[in-house]
Amino acid sequence: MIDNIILLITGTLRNRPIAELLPRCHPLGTFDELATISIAQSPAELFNAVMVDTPLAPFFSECVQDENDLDEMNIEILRNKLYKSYLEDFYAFCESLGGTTADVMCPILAFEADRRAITITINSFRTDLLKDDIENLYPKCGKLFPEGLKFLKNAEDREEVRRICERFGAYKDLYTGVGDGPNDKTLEDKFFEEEVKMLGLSFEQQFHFGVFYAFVKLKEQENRNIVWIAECIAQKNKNKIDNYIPIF
Amino acid sequence: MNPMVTDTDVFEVLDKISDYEQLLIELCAVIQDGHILLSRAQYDSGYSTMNSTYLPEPGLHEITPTTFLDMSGDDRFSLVTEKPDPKSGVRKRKKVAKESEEKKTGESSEEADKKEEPGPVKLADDPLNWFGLMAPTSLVQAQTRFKSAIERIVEISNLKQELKKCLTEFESLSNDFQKKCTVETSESNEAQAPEFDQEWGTKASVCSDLP
Repeated sequence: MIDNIILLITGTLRNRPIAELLPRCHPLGTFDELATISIAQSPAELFNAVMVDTPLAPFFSECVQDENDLDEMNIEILRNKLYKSYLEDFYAFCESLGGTTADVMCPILAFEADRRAITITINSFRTDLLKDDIENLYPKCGKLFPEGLKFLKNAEDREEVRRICERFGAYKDLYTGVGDGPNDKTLEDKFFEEEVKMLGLSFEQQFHFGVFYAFVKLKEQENRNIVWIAECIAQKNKNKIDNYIPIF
Repeated sequence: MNPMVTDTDVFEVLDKISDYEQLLIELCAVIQDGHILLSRAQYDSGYSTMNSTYLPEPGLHEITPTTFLDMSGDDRFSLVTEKPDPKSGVRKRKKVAKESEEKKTGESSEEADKKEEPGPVKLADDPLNWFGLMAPTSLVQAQTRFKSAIERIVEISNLKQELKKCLTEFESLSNDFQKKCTVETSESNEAQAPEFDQEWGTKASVCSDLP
């Protein structure tokens, strides 16, 4: 739903007709008011006119405080803030359910939160975002909260991010095998592998709701793998065809 | 042997051909890498954050090139980051005259309507920012590959120009040499071949009849 909103806002800013954008939206994230997003010029308008009756309404409270227009920078900040709010809310919900669901889902969501924090840090190196703005985008339900996030906020380059990750036991081996060479894996690959491992383990437990989440996320991973294989065939680059994340 | 073309010249041309072939191979590899990294960026970020919606479309979007080709050098191309100066100022003056005429006569309603229509949206100068402020690492790497591909294309063009120049020079020298050989040969043939002596021919035939 968040990605659909961002896609429509960005497309509208670039004068793309709404009829062209709607088919590109994820079907699981559609809602009735989706097509009316194009009328909004600021987060406040977006909230009052469109989002107020959607499941994302509670997550908009932080974003509505910024009265800036919806430009490229603010859209990116909006996307990350929405995702942060959604993740924290989802984590709190899973924790409240307790039992096996909490045991399965909370580590998965904590990992997702830390992954987002690390990815935002690395991707923000070439932007003009202030460190305080970047810190506001970090979800606070991960294992890196609070100390790790403080260090990440002040990181200046990828090497420093690596040293911060190695300081935390959970991510000590994250950078093993990561590099820029042809046979090296990327950090994103390691994240996907770890995520798939955790989602696969959720099926080892019984009578919990985490299996549904795991099923959907693993299905998305399968889709990514198939698209990757198709791209390698289309580009006649079969050397890299095996660079997908095997699931089971 | 023609003293104008030496072995060194020939080896230089062969080296240039070898460099040209090598650059072509590198260019193909770099472009292929760039495309696969684009696919990887879509794999990492997801289809919703990286699709053709974010690409510019002619008429809808205005983009500013960041690299220009400078062709003012002596038969060499080079890449520059600033747009080369416009060549003629007369063109500019005509435009200004047209604008002043329009202002004097007043604008028609059609022109007023055209001005109200939203023009093309100006996209960010850096193509990385077309896909969001925080582009993934693989997209940055793809951009690096495509930038190096442009540099290789310029090098290939320059090498091709040099090769063409060398080969044209060889051809003209070779033609001159052949012409010179032809003239010398004809002169030497004329010197060697004796004219037919009618009297000697008659005497020879008389002598041949003798027993």
